[in-house]
Amino acid sequence: MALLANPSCESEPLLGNSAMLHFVEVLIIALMLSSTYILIAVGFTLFFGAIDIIQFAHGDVAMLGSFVGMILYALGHITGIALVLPAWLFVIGVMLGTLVITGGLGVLFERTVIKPFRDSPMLMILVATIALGIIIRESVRLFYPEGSNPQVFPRLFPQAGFQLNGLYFRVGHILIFGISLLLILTMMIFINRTKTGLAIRAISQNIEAASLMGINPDLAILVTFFTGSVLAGIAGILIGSYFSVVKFDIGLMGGIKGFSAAVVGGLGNFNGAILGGLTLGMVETFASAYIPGGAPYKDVYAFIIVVFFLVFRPAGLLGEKAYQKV
Amino acid sequence: MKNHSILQARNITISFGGLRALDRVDFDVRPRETVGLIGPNGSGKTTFFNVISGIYKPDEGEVWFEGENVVRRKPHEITKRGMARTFQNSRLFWQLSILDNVIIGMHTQQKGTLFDVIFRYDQTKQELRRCAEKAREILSYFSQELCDKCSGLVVDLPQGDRRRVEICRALASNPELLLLDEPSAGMSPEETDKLMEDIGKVKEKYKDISLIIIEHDMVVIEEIAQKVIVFNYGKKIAEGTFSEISKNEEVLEAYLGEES
Amino acid sequence: MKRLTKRFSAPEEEREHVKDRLGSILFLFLIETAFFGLILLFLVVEGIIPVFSVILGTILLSYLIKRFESVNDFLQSLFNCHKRVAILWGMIFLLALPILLHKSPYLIHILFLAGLYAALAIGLDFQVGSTHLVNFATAADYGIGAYTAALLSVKFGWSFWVVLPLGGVAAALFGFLLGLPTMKTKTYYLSLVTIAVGLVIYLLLNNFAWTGGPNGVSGIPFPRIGSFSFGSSLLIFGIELPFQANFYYLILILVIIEFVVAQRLYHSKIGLAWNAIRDDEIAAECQGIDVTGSKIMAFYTNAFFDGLAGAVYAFNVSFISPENFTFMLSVIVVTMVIVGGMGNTAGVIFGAIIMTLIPEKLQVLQTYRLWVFGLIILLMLLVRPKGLFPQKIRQYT
Repeated sequence: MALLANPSCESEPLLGNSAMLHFVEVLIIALMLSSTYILIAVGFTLFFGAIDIIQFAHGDVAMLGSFVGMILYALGHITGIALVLPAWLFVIGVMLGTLVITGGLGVLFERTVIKPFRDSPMLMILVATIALGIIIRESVRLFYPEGSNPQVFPRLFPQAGFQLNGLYFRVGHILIFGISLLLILTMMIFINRTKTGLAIRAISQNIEAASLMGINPDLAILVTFFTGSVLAGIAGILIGSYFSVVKFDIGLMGGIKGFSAAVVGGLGNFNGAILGGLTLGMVETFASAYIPGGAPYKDVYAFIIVVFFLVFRPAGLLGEKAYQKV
Repeated sequence: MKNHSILQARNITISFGGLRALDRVDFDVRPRETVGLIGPNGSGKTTFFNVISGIYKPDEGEVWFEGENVVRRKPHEITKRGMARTFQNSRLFWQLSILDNVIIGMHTQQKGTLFDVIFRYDQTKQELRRCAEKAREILSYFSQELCDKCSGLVVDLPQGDRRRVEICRALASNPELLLLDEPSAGMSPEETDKLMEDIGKVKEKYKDISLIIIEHDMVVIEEIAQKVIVFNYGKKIAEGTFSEISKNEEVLEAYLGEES
Repeated sequence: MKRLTKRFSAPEEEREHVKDRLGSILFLFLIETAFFGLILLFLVVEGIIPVFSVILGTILLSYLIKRFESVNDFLQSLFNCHKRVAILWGMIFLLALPILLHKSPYLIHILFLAGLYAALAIGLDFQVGSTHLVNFATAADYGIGAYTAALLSVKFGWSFWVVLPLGGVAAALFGFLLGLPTMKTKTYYLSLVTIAVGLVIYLLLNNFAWTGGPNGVSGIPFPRIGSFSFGSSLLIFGIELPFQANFYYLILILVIIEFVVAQRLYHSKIGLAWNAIRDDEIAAECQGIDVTGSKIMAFYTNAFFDGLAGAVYAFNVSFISPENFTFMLSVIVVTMVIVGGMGNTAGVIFGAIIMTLIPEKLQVLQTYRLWVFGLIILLMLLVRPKGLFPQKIRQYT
């Protein structure tokens, strides 16, 4: 019963067909975790595809998403807007506001920290974005009230629950899961079946060729970073709603996991990011649920998978073997 | 297959994605021979260099160098066996001095393990000094001026000198076979003349060396190549002396397009 | 000063030359002593404003020296002419520092810390500086060295002098194993792997019972030489030095050894190979350099130095836990290399020292320390990516 409320603890069998129920519960958690990884992984893959860089602070952008959401929520209540609008409208407003702001922040970071290093060796960008991540995390820790402590994320979604076949579900979690699923499906359709999606895929293959086809590269980069950061912002809100608690340093691990997911799926491949996020989420959740005494090591399992891929199949599940131009 | 060839490539085939870059290419180089490799852009010449120097593994085919099958060897192992090369866009060590660049060329001849460097440093120091001397010697053979400013960074050099340094670096390893990839690229006519002089000097000083030169400048090829091989779309389409291949219809077609 | 390097035929000129030499050596002494005085001043002053003033004054001074080429060249040639004397005088100063500071154990301790970080930075410079290999697992090497030494000592009673090299070897083995499969991977993947491995080591140390879990290892004894324990005060020239001085001298010796080794590596085919790999990996491979082998070598030599430092650290603080070996420590050491000078051993030592001492002197900044580090990294990368002291061109006489 406590499982869905606190997803990071090991599960206990419930009433009824316990093994089966247990499995379903773990599966649901795995899917929810995967969806957050996917949302962050897509950002990494988009950025790498567009301009061949790794934005190490992308996980921290997701963290900013959750904090911005909290700030907007609080502002809404302080200014009284929250009381005037119907609840669902206010929530949508908070979410949209968060997305726009987070997207904007992502673009800001690109312009200030990444653009100067576009032609520099990769080492510079890596270290620069790692430094950016540090600055973001420490800024939140230092300047947000009680920043070093865990923050309670506002309840944006209804808290009511119901029973089904011995499993306890929260309406809010269903909604979160539904939103994530919808988002990911929309992204897939967008990327794979629309013209703009085609443009983004073209950019991630070869930005110069794409620019020759009439796509403005600078604008394309902006759109890419905005999109990726918006997705990270959503991930931030979902993480906050799902875990109920956020902290300034969740972006570090989240970013590393998201990057790992993108790599496992094939860096630069959009569908790969989805597959990679699923893989990582599944491995982490199932390993910690089913391996006795394994919960504290859940991150270790995930990283073992990542290292395995990096050594034996660096192209990832869906990536193509890259030939070095000599 | 051991016969008179220093390099023997048979049936070399390699594809990238769907594109066949080399298609069943055979290639022979005899000792002390200078071979010119020509063909339109994208015909697979540099790819061929990359295969025989070990950077790419071909999908099919074998490469024998000095009688040994090297097709599965890594580039540094092939260099150790006596093959050296230059690159189309002068891959020098930009943040190092001219002298250092040439000294690195001698890497295969420098003895000394980690242990030697830390605990027998005097030996290491001596050896390095000797390498520096030899490097200066090689540089001054081509250009005393270059030798005099050898403590400068290569990134400050004009194109002609860069190429010269690259050739010196390649020669520093005492190769049996030297691969030159479009050495005259980006050069003015005067620089190209100097380049031809340099290549002549190479053959003079290193009497036993074989050369394969990829070139677009036919004047260079005509002047120095004893045998010319022509590639087109990854296939070898002609082989012979310069005058022979310059009359070859297929070659003319490849360069000039279909006769209407 | 040019007169010093000319050859002389006449004996009178010779005598003049000797007088000049004496004069210039004296001058060198004066300038160096003034410089040491500045260092002492910085260490001894208290309070934000005095410390800031000293720092700003030093920055201003260095800027002025750089600006006026003639002054810069003069100082350079002065140093070059009398290198041996200058270094000797510097060594004497370093040896005398604890004596001069014997009233302040805290200051000696932070010098010890600066030395530890210098040791870490010298090792990391092989990878990040010379070869441009991204490595964020310094804390892992450091921790493995510390834990190996600590556990062997606490559980089996082995002496410090035995576990010190063992700590280095354990870390080097780890570095080798880490380097082995990952050397084919690209830069960005390597960064991910080293960060992930660093985190995994932290998690493992935190969860294994035999490493003490989150409680770590405590009760690590002080090193001993015969009957002398490093925990007791040191008597030199009748002055009683606090026990921190023992560790200061220990780390000083370690750093000097590492400096010599680093310089030898630099001026050898190994250092050249590393730089070649940095500048163009494919061309390096085609010159006969075993790129994979060289990269792995950079990995384990770095790890060895880190392991030694870890062992020394463990025996200084007597108690270690996984919290001492976090990702942030790795980031800090990377910062020191970037700030100090990539590929320049003296530069990274300088970077390590100032980035340890300045935050210690400006205690009020402690909470902001990481934030400031992040800003400094960005600033340095944007403005002076090669570091304060970029790599020097090798000279062959």
